[in-house]
Formats: sequence, structure tokens, C-alpha cells
Amino acid sequence: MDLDRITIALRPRSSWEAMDLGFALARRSFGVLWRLWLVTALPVLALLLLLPRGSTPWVLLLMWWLKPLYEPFLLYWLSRSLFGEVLPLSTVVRRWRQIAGTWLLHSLTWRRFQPERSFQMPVFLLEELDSAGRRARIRILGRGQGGPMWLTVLCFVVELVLAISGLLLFFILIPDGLRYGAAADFLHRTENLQGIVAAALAMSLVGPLYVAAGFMLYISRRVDLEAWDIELGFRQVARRLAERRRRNLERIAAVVLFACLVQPHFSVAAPLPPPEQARTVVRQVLADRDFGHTETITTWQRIEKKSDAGGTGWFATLLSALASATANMHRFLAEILRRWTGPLAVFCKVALLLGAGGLIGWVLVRYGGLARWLPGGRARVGAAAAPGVLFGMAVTPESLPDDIAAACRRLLEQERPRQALALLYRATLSCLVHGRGLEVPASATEAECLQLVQRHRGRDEADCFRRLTSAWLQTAYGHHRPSRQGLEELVNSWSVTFAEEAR
Amino acid sequence: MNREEKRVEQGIARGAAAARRLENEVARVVVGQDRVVREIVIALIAGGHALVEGVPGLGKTLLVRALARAAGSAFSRIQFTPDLMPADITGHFMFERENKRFVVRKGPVFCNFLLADEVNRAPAKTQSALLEAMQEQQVTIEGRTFPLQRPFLVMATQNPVEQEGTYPLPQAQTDRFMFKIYITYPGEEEELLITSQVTRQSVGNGLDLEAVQPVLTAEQVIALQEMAAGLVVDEQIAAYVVRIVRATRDWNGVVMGAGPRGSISLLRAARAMALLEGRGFVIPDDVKQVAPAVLRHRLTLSADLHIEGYTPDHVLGELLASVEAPRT
Repeated sequence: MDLDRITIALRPRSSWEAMDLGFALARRSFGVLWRLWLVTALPVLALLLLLPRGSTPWVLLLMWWLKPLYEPFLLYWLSRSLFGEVLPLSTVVRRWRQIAGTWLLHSLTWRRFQPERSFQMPVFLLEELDSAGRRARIRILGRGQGGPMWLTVLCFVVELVLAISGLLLFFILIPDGLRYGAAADFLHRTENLQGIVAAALAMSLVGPLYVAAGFMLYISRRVDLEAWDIELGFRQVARRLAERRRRNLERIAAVVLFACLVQPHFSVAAPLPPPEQARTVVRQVLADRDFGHTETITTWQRIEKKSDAGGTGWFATLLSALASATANMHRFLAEILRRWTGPLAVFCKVALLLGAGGLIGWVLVRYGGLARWLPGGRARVGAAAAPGVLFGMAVTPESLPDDIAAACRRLLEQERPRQALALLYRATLSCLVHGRGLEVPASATEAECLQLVQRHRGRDEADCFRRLTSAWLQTAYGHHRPSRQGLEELVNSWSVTFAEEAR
Repeated sequence: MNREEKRVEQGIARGAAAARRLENEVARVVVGQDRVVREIVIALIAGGHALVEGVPGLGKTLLVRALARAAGSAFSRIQFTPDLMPADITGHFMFERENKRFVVRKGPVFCNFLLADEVNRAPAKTQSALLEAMQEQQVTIEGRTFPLQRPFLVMATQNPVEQEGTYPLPQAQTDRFMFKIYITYPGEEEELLITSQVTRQSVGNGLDLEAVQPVLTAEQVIALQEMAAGLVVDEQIAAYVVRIVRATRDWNGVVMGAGPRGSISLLRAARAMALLEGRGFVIPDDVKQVAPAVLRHRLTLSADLHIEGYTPDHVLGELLASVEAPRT
């Protein structure tokens, strides 16, 4: 790295100034950077488009996730361009082995949620340190730096706004007769390509700016820490002095040469004055006005009147207090972000792993038949929901008699078939809800309860419940009196199928 | 089960078989729209009218014509346009020169099955003429009242796109329709079948209604309507219906819910549904199945819900999942 060849003015800059400089650099070379982004991103996008139709949200997510893959090429070109070496696009692409590394894999996996990606990427790509050195380096560089985090947030928001605006613009430009549905439908429609195109365009526009601004934040931080500006200043001073010395020597050499070559008539040295005369001359010189002369000069100077009262005074104080509070708030937020960024990334990583584990577990339980190996067997459906009252009927085991079949038979003997059927239906629901863990919402009708049983229980239970439901519907809503014989058969069947659990 | 109950049950079974024959006959021609066919048959048995919403070319005319033919009844069609006048629907008196007297010329509304195509293209005055006929089952021309023949079913259609230059039906008018039915595109296989059927040895796009057999007569349709009206409805079912309708009024995001006419229509439709299922009594599932079609046009959603992309069907889905089902 030759600092003398650097193409930007080196001086300490705030984070915002550094980002601004980065944006300016990106604008200056936007064409090259944009093409570089497209060269890397378009093949990836083409591969993603091979995914099945209707997976647009997945394509968008993967495009976003693979961003660290597109950015190193831009950074590589920028890092060379900063020191005056403008590489052709093909050269950068050919050097992909030099650019890609294991760090890229980290950036695409567990470091994907790192919000300071643009700031840290130069350390990975350009400094070529081992992992311990890299960590130490990132720690030192990142100390007290909130800018990279804000840059990521800012770019994300701008990207989102650009994508949505692009889509809406496209929607507005569609002639009325060709439009289907409202703008919201258009934005949410997943089977079309417009969402992918808008997102890709927005990413391609923001990507170069993001990389350049992050790189300038990195450079600015190094200027601060390593005093590049001072070093460069010293170098320039040294060079200037060396130049001047060389010129002086040349002059002296020329004079001496001239004196040697030409014998002047006045070359005889003048006689020195005697000491007394010299002393007199010295006194005369010292007595001159230009030596030892003291002079007092008085001028008028405007003194600002102290604002002790009046509107401008309190307003200025208020503004000053507001500015101070804003600055403090900014420092506070930056500090909070600095402290919490790391833990947040760890939290996201853990949440991601847990989420993936949970999803795999759920898929295994739901579709892999794992549920039957869990305690409670295949009937364990929504065991958490075990209400005491369903549809206005008490369905807790405590609210039912100990021997339900016997109680039903007693009711039948008393010529109360409707009550017997109601008890049987209630007991079955209680058994399904409490014993089998079946989740029955309060809005479920009898037919929906039957569907739940048919879906989650065995054939015997479903068959018994189907006959029971049919008899219950006839009695409850059709006002038919159930036959005693039919009810006795139902009670017997129920005793075989449900009585064990109900007890 | 005593003899009387058996007799009633046999009658219900015969009625259900007749209704299903009608449904199957129409569904044989109107391919891929089984839900729409069932809903229109329910509307017919319940003695209601249907507002059908769907893009053009989905077989709305075919549906009504097939239904009219299968039910052995008269069919008329009115294409609503901005210059359509009330008299074009109801009819008018005209002077007969030969006999030197005024004679009444009845409009297309005097039929059994009326297709009011693109009803929102005519001004409110013309719409009102039809909607009054629907409600009163009679037409007044120049002070003379003419009853409409039974059965009388109006199927009005609306196009969900191209809303420019239309006169949207106000809430008070849409409330008179028992059902609002969404007709959507058929599946790929059904569309292939339709295309093959229509183009087979046919020059134009003509619909071959000769294939539809009259399976009922107008009198039988009336008998079905009366049979549905006589089905057993438990108090719990009526309470469930009212609970659902009242919930639409208090539901968050619904500016205006259904009125008592909604409750009445819901119960009538549930009865027709029960008959179609071959039951002599109504169960909560009948109510639940017909509730979206009966209530979707009676809800006015707030602007917030519209912006969030909610439709009345979303709201009704959530509402039906929260209203407690009856248990006697």
C-alpha cells in the first residue's frame, strides 16, 4: 500500500462524512460497480429462477441472503481504484480465487445477520489475517463505531422503498384495461416476476453505494488509528526539505565554481576595523529605531453585548440544549448499538438455529409419523386444550357419573331416552377432549366434531361416534324420539369403545 | 318412529331426490361450477334471489337457462344498460288501434327465471323497478297490479372489474338478494371439457341446451319450496342464526352488519340446504355452510380492513370460527 498514490484527501472524518465520501466514490464509478454487481448476481438470480413457480418469496429471501456473495468483487475493485489502479472488469472476475475465501462462507451462514458487514469486509478481504488476528483487528477497528450499523439500516430501508416504488411505478404505467386487481394485490402477487425484478434492481442500485460507504468507513477508521494523514504530511515535508536542500547545494556549488573560474578584482578582502571603531558601529546600529523600539498601538474592538434577557437569549439556550441533548442521544444510541450489536447477532444466530430445529421437529412430528412414538400415541392432538365446558355442556370427567353406561341404562328404564343420549354424547366429548387430547373449538358443529374424530382417531371410535352423532342430531334438532333398542345398542357399542377411557 | 314420521321422512327423501336431480342436471351442463350450481339451487328452493359476481364468460347465462329448462320453467334475460328504462323491465300499456283500447304489454320480468345481466350498468331508478318486483313478487303497470308467476328467481350479475360508468347497488338493494355468489374460473380439466363440448361440431359459441332434460315442473319446484318451508327448525338453530347475524354487527372492522332480513334469509337458506341433504330438520352445519353466501353482501367493511386486503369472506370465516355452535 503506497499512501502517496491514494486518490482521496486524507484527514480525520466523522462517520457521516466517510459515508458521504463513499457515496461520492460510488457515484463516480457507478457504471463499473453496477456491472460488477450484475456479473456476480445475475447468474445466481438465474439459478434461483429455476425454483418451482410460486416460490417468489423464497427467491427474494435467497437473493437477499446471498448478498455477501456479490459484494467482495466491488470492494476489490474499489480498493485498487483508491490507489490509482483502475482494473478492467474482466481482470477482477478472473481473480475470483483471490477474492473468495473461507470468510465468505462464514458471511453467508452464521455471520449473515452481522449488521457491520460492509465495514468488516475489507478486513477479511484485504488484510489477509489469521482468524485470531482478524478478530482482534475487528475489535479494535469497531470500537465506538456506530456508523456501519446505521449504514446497513439506511441502505436496507432505501432498498425496500426503491423496490416498492418501482413496483408501484410499474403498476401505474399499466393501462387501466390491463390491470387486474388493486395495487395491494399487485404487490402481494407472488406468482409474477415483477417483484423479483424490482428487488434485484433495488439491490443492484444500493449495493455499490453500500460497499463503497462501508469501505470508506473502514479507511476513515484506519486514518484515525494509524494517522495516515500525519504520515503523509511528514512524507511531503521531508520531500520538500530534501528538494530545497538539493537546490541550495546546487546553488553553492555553482557560486564556488564561478568564483574559482573568474578572478575578480575586488577579491581582496577589506581590512577589518579596529575593535573600538567596531564597538562604536555596534552602538550606532543598536541605537537605531528598528532595534529595541517599543510601540503601543491602540485600536477599537467591538465587544458583543452579553445576551442577558430577551427572546433570542432563551431561544438560543433552548436550541443549544436541544442540540446538546441530540448529540448526547446520538452518543448514547451509538454506545447502545455498539454494546448490543454483538449479543444481538448471537441471539439471532441462536434463534435461527432453534427455529430450524423446531421446524425440523415439527415436520417430523406432523408428517414423519413421529407423533405415534410420543407419549399419548397417535391421538395426541392439541393436548393443551382441555376445556371444562364445551357448547354450554360440562364435559369434565368430574361432572359425569362414574359408570356412564349404567347411568344411561337407568335413564332408558325411566323412559328418558333423550337424557340418556345427551349423557352419552356429553361423555364421549369429555372422553375425546380429556382422555384423547382432541382439540374441539367452541364453534365446531357436530359434523365438524365428527370430522375431527375421523381424522385423528381410529376406525372403531370414528364409527361409534358417527352413529352417536347421527342419533343425537335426529333427537336434538329433528325432535325424533330415539328407539330404545337403538340406544341400547349404542350404549353397548360405546361401552366397548370409550368406557375404558371415560372411567 | 311412528307412521306419520315415516311418511314425512319418505316425502323429504323424495323431495331431496328431486332437488338433487335438478342440481345434477344443471351441473352436467355447467361444468366446473358445482358450488355455484348448488347455491343457485338452494336459492331457488328457498324462494330467494341471487346476485352473482364474476368476470364475463363464465357461463352465467348458461346456468340460468339450464336451470330454467331443467325446472321446466320460462326464462328471460335483460341486459342492463345506462339507457334501460323501468318500463323495459316491467312492461307498459300501449294503444291498440284496431280495437281502440289500451292493452298491456308485459315486460321480460314476467317469467320464472330472470337473468339480469350486469345489473349495475343501469341507473338506480331502473334497478329499483326490478328490485321491487323481486321483493313484492308483483308488478304495477299504470296503476294495475300483476302478480308474478311462481317460482320466480332473479339472478342478477355484476362484473367485479370495469367499474367505470356503473351504478353500484346500494346496501338496501343488495340486501334483497338472498345469496351473493362468486363465480370463478373453472379448473384446467373442467375448462378443457367445456372447450371440447362447446366446439364439438358447432360453428359458433352456441350453447346446446337440448342436452338439458326437464327433470321437474314448475309445480314441483313450488312443492319443493313449500316442503323446505315446512322443515323442523329447533329453537337452538334459530338462536344460532341470530347469534351469527348479531355478531356481524359487533364485529371489529365491520361498519354495518346484517339486519333481521339477513337472519331470515339465513334460516330459509339453511332449510333449503337441509332438504337438499335429505334431512327433515335443520342442523348447525346447514347454517354454517350457507352463511358466507347469505351474509357476504350484507357486510360493509371499514376502510382499514379494505386497505389491509380483507374481504367479507375473511371476516365471515373468522366470525363463524368464533360464534359458539348450539348444543341442546
